[in-house]
Amino acid sequence: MVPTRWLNRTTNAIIWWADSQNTREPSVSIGPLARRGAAIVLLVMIVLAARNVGESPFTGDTGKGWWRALISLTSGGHGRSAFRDLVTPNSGEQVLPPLVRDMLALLRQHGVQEYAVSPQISTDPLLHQRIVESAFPKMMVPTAPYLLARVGEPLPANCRPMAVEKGIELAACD
Amino acid sequence: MLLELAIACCCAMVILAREGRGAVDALRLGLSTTVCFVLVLGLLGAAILLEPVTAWDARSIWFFHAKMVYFAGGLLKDGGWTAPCCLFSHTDYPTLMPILAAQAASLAGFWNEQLPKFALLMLLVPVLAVTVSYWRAGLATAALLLLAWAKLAPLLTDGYMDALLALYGLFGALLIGSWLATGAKLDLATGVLFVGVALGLKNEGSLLAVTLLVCATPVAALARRDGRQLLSAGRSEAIRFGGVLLLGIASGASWLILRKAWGLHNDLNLGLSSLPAIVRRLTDPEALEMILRSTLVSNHLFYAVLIGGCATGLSYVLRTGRLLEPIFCMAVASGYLAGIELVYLATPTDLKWLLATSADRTTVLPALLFLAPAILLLRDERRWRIEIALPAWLRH
Repeated sequence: MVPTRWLNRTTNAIIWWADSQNTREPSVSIGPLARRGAAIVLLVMIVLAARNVGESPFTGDTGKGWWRALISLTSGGHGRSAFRDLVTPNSGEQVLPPLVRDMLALLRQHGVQEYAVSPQISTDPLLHQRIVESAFPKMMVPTAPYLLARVGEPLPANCRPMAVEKGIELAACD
Repeated sequence: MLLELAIACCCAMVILAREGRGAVDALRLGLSTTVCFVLVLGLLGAAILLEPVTAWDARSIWFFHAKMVYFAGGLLKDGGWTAPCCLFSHTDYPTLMPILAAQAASLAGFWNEQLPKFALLMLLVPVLAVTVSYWRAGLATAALLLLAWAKLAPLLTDGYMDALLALYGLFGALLIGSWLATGAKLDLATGVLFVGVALGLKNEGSLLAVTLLVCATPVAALARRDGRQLLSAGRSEAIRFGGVLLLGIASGASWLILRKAWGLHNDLNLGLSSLPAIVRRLTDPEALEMILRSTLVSNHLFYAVLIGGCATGLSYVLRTGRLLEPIFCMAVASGYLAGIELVYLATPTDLKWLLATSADRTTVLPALLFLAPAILLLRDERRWRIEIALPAWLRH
């Protein structure tokens, strides 16, 4: 059987070399079963060749964690609490670093809307970014009347301690 | 915010009412396809919704922006976009996902760290629908696509936009390639909408759109010269296509206007001023080696390039008949990867840090695009022809 081959003029113009096949010797085509087999073999080869594509320490670890998390979520008590958290306001904050949770607790307990942070907190990108995004819409403003600092960190002269929550201190500043 | 959702629902209802039974029939899926669709969406949905946002960029950028939209009641300048304390979150980044996440929280009436992730699930529906539409092409294509989804799953559920961008980019390129090969208008419209979503997901969406435009324009122009009308000259057709195009780029374009008005700039500050940095790194063998190693070798992207090249070659050998599509995908993948390399060459930030924290994510889209010829080769399995040169005495 001589195959009919679809090849339009545009394709011809771009890939001119493709047309050379039309002048080849007569050909035979393989049957559907063989074709299907060839497709499956090709699929296996592609998967084997591509199994590492995109693999890196980042995606590799995340991948394993993802399956573990999914299994644990769907198989026990954690799943039930996850469903409860889904419909609970402000849930999910357990993933925040403990110091950030302490800061959030202090800001909420004292109804603080604008706050500043100490140099130790501000130079730590994890603490700095997590408190800004988790406390929002409370805003971090350098001139705010309240200051969050780590316990033991020296406070500026114009600030006096107000409250302490584990590792974090809230100070009122003039 | 609920107004936009109501408008979208009204539009969908009008289309369904106008098209009537035809539209409903078109939406109907086979049993196996439906089961697969529901299963994949259910698994991903559980992984997305039952865990709080933990990944760094997801918290610091995407869901933080969603929180800003939610608490301001819309995309408003006073919502914190220009506040100095929020600038670390790259407030110039596209806002499609943050807006959807804010809508989800708005509907619920409260904010938490899980429910707004519903936006990720919503964004997965169109790409999953297109994926299952490839089921009809055969078991091998379905298996390959499912494996790609399984591989991408961790990146689809952690709140990063890269895997979503990769899927929208892949299907955008496949659909536009299909339009170039067959002239199917539905493929063009869907492809344009997919690229529109990619534009609203990440800045890299703009790079993808430009690459697609650059690769598709000469093919469309040649088709026109050959008398093959890819776009009808009819007025109603032009209006329809204009509407689709407008819908596709509306989200990205409106954010571009807003961010310019608010004075938000990208920290990479790419432009003509980047030329000295590009020249400096091009002449620095250490920097060049670092970029190529991180983008091509460490994440094994070169395997994808090899597979794409072999699959394109096989499409030629097996005479699949639509050779234009794999070549188009390879061209888009190469152009996009070149653009990514250029960004790394031009970056004003610490190159080593940037590559270590982003190269594995930014190369997900080119990896998928390079694997696209393999998907097309398996899709066209029914058209395969094995050419055998017959001896002269057998020809008669």
